Amino acid sequence: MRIVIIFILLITSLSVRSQTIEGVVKDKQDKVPIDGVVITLLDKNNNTVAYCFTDKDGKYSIQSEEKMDSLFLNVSFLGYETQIIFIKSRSKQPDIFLQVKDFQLKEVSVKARTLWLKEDTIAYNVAALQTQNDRKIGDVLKKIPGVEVSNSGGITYRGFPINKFYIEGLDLLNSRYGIATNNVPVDAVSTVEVIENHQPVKMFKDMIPSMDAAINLKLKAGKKFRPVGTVEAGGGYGFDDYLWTLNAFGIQVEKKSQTIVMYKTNNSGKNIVSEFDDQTIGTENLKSFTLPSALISSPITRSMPLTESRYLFNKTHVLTLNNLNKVSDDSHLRVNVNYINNCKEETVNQYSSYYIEGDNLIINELESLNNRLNLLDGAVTYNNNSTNQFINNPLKGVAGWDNTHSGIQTQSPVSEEFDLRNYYIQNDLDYSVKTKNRIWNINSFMRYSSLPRQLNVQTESLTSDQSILRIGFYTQNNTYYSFKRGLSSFRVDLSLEAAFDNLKTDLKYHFLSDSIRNDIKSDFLKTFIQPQYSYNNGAFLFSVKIPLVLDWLGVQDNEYKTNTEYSYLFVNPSANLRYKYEMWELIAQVRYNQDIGDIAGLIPSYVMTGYRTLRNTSGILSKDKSLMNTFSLAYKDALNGFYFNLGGYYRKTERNMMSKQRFINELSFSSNDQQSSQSKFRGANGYIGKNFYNIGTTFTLTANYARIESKKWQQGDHYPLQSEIWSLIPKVNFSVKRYFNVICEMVFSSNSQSITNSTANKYKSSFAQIAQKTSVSYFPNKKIEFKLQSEYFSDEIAEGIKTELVFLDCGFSYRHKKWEINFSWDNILNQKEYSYLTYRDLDSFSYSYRLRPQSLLATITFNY
Amino acid sequence: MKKLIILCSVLTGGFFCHNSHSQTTQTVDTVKLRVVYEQFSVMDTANPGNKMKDMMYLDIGDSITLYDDYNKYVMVHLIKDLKSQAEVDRVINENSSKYNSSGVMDYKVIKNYPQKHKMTVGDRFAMEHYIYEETIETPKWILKNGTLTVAGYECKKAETLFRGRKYEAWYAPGIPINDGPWKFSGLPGLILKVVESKGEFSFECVSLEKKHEAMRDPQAGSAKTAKIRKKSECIKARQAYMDNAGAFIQGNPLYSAPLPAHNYEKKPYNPIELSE
Repeated sequence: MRIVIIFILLITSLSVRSQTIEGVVKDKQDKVPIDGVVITLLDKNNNTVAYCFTDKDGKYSIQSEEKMDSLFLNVSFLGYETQIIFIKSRSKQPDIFLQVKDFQLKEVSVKARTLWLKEDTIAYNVAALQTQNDRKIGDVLKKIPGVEVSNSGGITYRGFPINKFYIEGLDLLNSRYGIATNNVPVDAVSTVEVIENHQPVKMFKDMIPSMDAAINLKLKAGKKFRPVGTVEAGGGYGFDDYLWTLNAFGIQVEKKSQTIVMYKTNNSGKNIVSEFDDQTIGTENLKSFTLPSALISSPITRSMPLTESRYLFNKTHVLTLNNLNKVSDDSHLRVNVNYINNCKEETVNQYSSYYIEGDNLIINELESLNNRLNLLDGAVTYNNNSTNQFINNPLKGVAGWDNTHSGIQTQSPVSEEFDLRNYYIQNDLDYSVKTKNRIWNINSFMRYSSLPRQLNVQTESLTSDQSILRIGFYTQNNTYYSFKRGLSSFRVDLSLEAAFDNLKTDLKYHFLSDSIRNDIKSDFLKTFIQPQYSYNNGAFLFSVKIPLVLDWLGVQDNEYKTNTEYSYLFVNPSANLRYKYEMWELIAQVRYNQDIGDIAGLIPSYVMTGYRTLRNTSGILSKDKSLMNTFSLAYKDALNGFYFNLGGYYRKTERNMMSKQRFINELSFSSNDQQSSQSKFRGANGYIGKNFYNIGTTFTLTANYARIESKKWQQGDHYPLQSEIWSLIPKVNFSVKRYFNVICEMVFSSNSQSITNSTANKYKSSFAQIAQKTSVSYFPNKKIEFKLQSEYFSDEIAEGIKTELVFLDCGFSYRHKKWEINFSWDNILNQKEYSYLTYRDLDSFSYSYRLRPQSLLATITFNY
Repeated sequence: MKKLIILCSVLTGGFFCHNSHSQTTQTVDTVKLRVVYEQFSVMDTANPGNKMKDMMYLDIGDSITLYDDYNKYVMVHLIKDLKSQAEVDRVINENSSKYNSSGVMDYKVIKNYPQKHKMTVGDRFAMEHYIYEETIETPKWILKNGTLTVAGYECKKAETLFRGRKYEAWYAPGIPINDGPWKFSGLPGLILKVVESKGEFSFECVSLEKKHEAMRDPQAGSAKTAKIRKKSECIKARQAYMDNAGAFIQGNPLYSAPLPAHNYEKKPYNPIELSE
């Protein structure tokens, strides 16, 4: 009762001070209430007294203290005719019906359009990212979030390889873009654009989405239409040799053409050949046309857990000429020519231990290797990328000569002479044409290759000669059909592969009167049809592929006069899943794969691959069956500076054969045994990062673990093997503002091998490695930089025997306008040798490498 | 002969086709009016002459209103309509050079989203979306005398105190719709101009365009899966990022190299909202 009284009092008190006008606004046609109508109460001078908006039921309620009889309501809404209503002195108004009326606007255009792309293309101002020790564009690229740059100049964005590297929107270098990453001077570039989801084929835009990103460099206004580049020359002393270095790089960007010319040479231990590596182009480019194996490879391609410039004794010359000319707005012609001349020397003391029936066969060799590589390649590419047609056709020719002389000191001196040559010519046509809503597409790759190999071995007065020739023609042709329904998409891929191969080997072994020969011809045909389904709603992505593969292989052995045909039908399903929720991301993959080998795995007679290694593959065609699972879970909380990744990997492989090795004295004979084998690989990795903003310090910890179970056939016995590898990498980054930066990193790793069979003699061995790296940079002002770096290695080279090594390097640079002077003093403690140990199955190899001595190098650079 | 047949079939068998399809992003509303504003912000209060400029657009639908970066929109839509790669290159070339360290932030306000009377505010920095939701609060406007022509429309004046700052606004009774730039709304006509009393922030309409097109889900893509956080958390993160961006991103596996030294220094920052 009391409430009612209060309510009445309230109403009357309000009505004394002000009046309320209420009502409903509806659409005249369908009588539906209109939401958001502007109700303005105006006086006779057209001044606004009060206003309100209708709610979702079309109701309004407006209050005023003024006398209502002199006022009127203006009822208006965009898209309706405005009504003026004079108010009689009462609060409740009759319903107002508004008539739909096309609204007219005085359309005004935008005065200035300053375009700045934030979502699809993220542009980075180079000046904002550049620090004083950045020289080449690659130094700046690696600072862009999500971008990683490898030593050879390859770029990944958010963990995936980029699909295009453009300079001013043109693709001059294609997969050899490492030349630009490592050489374009940072001062010539104004902006770096990261183009997310870049679809390079113009007519696929809006039809086929791309997950890959591209990079585009935009040059400064004053750096176009004229040659731009650097010339760097230097000399020094390496305590047993004089050192030189010369780099000349030039780029010229015109409206309709681009040119890059570069010549580099040095003998100072810097690897400039890797800049010519073919980089991976995108994740959606499934093409990989590797050259077939020709059984013998160069013995010099070893890598060790040490910075390459510490052990690389080289004399290198490289030359590259690249030119792109626009034929029309949408098409261009590109010519790329590269020449590499590289001499390398290596001195290594190798201590090999082979496990034979509970005992070890030990071989000690002092090897000095001399490698000379000459590689010439040239490509002409025509590209037409317009809205209704796409053509890309590179025609490429390669000639390579790789000679290695190896002098070995063992019980008696031996010399090996490797002569490996590659000649091939290939054409890769990609053609698509659009008619109305359909795209016709063909992709055809063809290659003719000739791979002659020679190995000559001299022991005392005896000579052995191995020659190999593999000649082949290979073609792969793909096409696909795809369509999309809502969030689901379907695609069918069709592929046809054919290879015609001829492999001849001839071995004249010193104690045999007759030569050992293989002469195999093969025809190979593979047809492949792959239906694929994927679903993507942004948070959840799922895809399944079920390829059906039909392999046919016909082998003709001219030596043994046999003909064999093989045919197989495989189904290789795979599934992918990605799920994102708030700060979590989960990725999982399952894959089942079956595959057969090629004729390099079918040679019945021995081939000499080194002075004490002979190999055949027993004429058994390899057949692999594998199951692979991977998963990764990531958590990212930037707000609290906490990051966490966890990943796992499992692979089980079954093979219809087992590799076997037998020793007769020091001679190793390897071949395959027709007994199926199984291997299992389990791996896990983790990452934790914690950032303490307030003290400028970040701790990260990376951990890796792998366990491999396999079987090995050695000297007539089977050994089930198990090896375990783990590593732990803690890292601290400490930055004290602008002028002082400290990075501290440590690597602990351990490797162990054991025979898991209880009946055999127990065999277990392990070794551990610790590496520590600390670098300090100090910039007293913008022109000067000091750098000091120390590295510490502790390696176990045999059971209980450790070697320790400390490296110290320092550098100084001074920069003034276009000039720059650099001094570096490397290997100050003059370390001469680095030793480490590796395992391969049952065998262990301990190496001691000669290192580059203490060296002083001064260079002067001019940027033009 | 067999080889020849195989080869021929390989070379001729490679043709196939596939259908085109269009992007299917969820439509959430229909845009009826697009208004473009020039937004000026002073980030460094010690240097009030240095105003940063953003072009922002306001897409007004039947219910949802999106206030976002106009250049982003132009880039995405302009390029789509161009005929050749050469034209795309030309447009990008001509326009990206106009960019000069302006652009305060990648910031958007979506009114009545995900539901009525709520708004979603999105900020993006250091490769992360920071998204929060709040209830739409209409500023308490006081209507004043005075008129001004903005973008060809006669506007009336109103004043308010909103989130710790005093603003003077100009609204067009000739465009009877309750909306405005940023978080502003609640006047009997579209708000075409707003000026903060110290001149640190201003919004002015430079273009109006009638539309009838689908409004795509403004949070489609990576923002859709991002976590909705508290407003205070987002403001704290933005402040920490402006104070020391280099320190803020350390440890994030997306950043492989430390940022250059100047990123470790405090950047001027002047938040538009001074109070709740």
